[in-house]
Amino acid sequence: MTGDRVAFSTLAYEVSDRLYAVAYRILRDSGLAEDALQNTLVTAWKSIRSLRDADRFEAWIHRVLVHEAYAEARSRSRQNDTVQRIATVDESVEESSAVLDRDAIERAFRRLSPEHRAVFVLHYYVGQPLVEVAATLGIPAGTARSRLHYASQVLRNVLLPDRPGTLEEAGLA
Amino acid sequence: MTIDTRLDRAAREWIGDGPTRAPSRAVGAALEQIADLEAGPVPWLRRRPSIVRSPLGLAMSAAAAIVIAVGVLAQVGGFPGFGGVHAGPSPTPSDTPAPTAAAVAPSPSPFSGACTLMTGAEAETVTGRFAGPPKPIESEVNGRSVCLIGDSGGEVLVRLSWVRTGGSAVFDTAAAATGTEVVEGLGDAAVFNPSTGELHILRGDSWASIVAHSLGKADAIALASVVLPRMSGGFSGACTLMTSQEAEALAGVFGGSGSRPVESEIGGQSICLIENAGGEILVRLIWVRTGGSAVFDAAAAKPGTEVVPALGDAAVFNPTTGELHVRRGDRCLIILAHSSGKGDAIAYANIAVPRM
Repeated sequence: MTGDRVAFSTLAYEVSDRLYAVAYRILRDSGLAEDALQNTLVTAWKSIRSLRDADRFEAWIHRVLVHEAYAEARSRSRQNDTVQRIATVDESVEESSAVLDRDAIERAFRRLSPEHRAVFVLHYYVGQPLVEVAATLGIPAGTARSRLHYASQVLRNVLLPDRPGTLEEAGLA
Repeated sequence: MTIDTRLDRAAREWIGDGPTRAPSRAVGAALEQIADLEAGPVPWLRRRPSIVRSPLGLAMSAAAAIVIAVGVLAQVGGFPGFGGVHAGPSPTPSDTPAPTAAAVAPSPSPFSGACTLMTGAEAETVTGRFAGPPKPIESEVNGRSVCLIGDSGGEVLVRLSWVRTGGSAVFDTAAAATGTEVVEGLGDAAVFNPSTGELHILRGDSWASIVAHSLGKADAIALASVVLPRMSGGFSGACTLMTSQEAEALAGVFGGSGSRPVESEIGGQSICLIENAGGEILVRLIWVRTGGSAVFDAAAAKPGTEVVPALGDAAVFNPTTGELHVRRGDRCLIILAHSSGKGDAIAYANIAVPRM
């Protein structure tokens, strides 16, 4: 099996940047993303025989990655408050609206569940159509659509400071 | 500005921001973990699944994969998955540790001449001989560089000679020798001399000769498939579209000197990364030589792309990714400048596009 192992190691280096980038964007934490990547590669090797169709490799390994990201997110949930506090900027500092928008999005995104984040990242960052997102995650297309809608709505709300209840809706108040 | 536009812009900028390169220690740690785990056989694995490329990060890892593959070959002595014939004894598979980034990262090549045309591992793989770590030795006399790749037993596996410019005269002399046989489909011209076992190849004004350990014609031709693409500065794909000096000049202060082009070819796409001495990318070129129209059309259909006039047959710039797509016939060139800026990408395109 040495040839397979070597081929897999080459493949691992090829996909690792993309997987790490996706994991980071779901988890918003470089350490967790690194762990998710490592676990993804190990899990992928253990179960790679189950994948018969090489053309499905990318979707398959993204699914493995997302599930590892879920696991990492759950392991970190106990420290969530710390993460939130670190992420909060000094709002007394005068900043441009673009910077404030991004900060608001960042904070709102961190309040989303990993499941919602995954749909958002696969759609907006990886560029997968919703049908493909659903296939990657193994969920119905309607579920993917509703998760994306919810995530987008939360992020949209934080950009509407004049709307009553916006921060509460976004979970930021 | 509407809220949807504002959200879309802010969300896309925000989601695009962040790391795009995986720490090599994570991959290395995973590969160490799987070293003791059996998973195979996986018939499709060595045939390489198609991987969608992301802008910068994957191009980097693609280049790294080539480095890793070469390093791995050096470690395990070649394997059939790389297309070679491996008739000789090989190391025991179970003794072969899984490669890690640290384990396989090669040191810079000490060679600048004929030994850049082929590595010891490639010579082993193609010739099917293995008698310990191969040792290439390079010398240069009167503009002719000679590389001897021998095994640890002192036997020469391959002898390569190379005249980089002015090689036409050398080739003509060799081809005029009695008994030489024309070999079709190699470079611009090629002849084999059965008396000496020497295969002479001409590519442009560059001449190379190859002698395999067997003195056989078939072995020499097999070795030529490795050597030939490297006779033109080592590049045959996207890195032929721009020199490192040109990239440095466009990058200005950021470029500095001593930049390094790295070329890899995966899934029909040739990727060239030109990095400065500090390892920062000056420019990334992805060249799709067939089927480029479809790649271009898909890029042009993305929201927010801007048409760039008077560049190739058609060109679009994507402000979100910083990528400039240029189509010429059925070829497509994707340029990402160091700044991710449109002006810089167009400046690089003005050099590369006429060479597509």
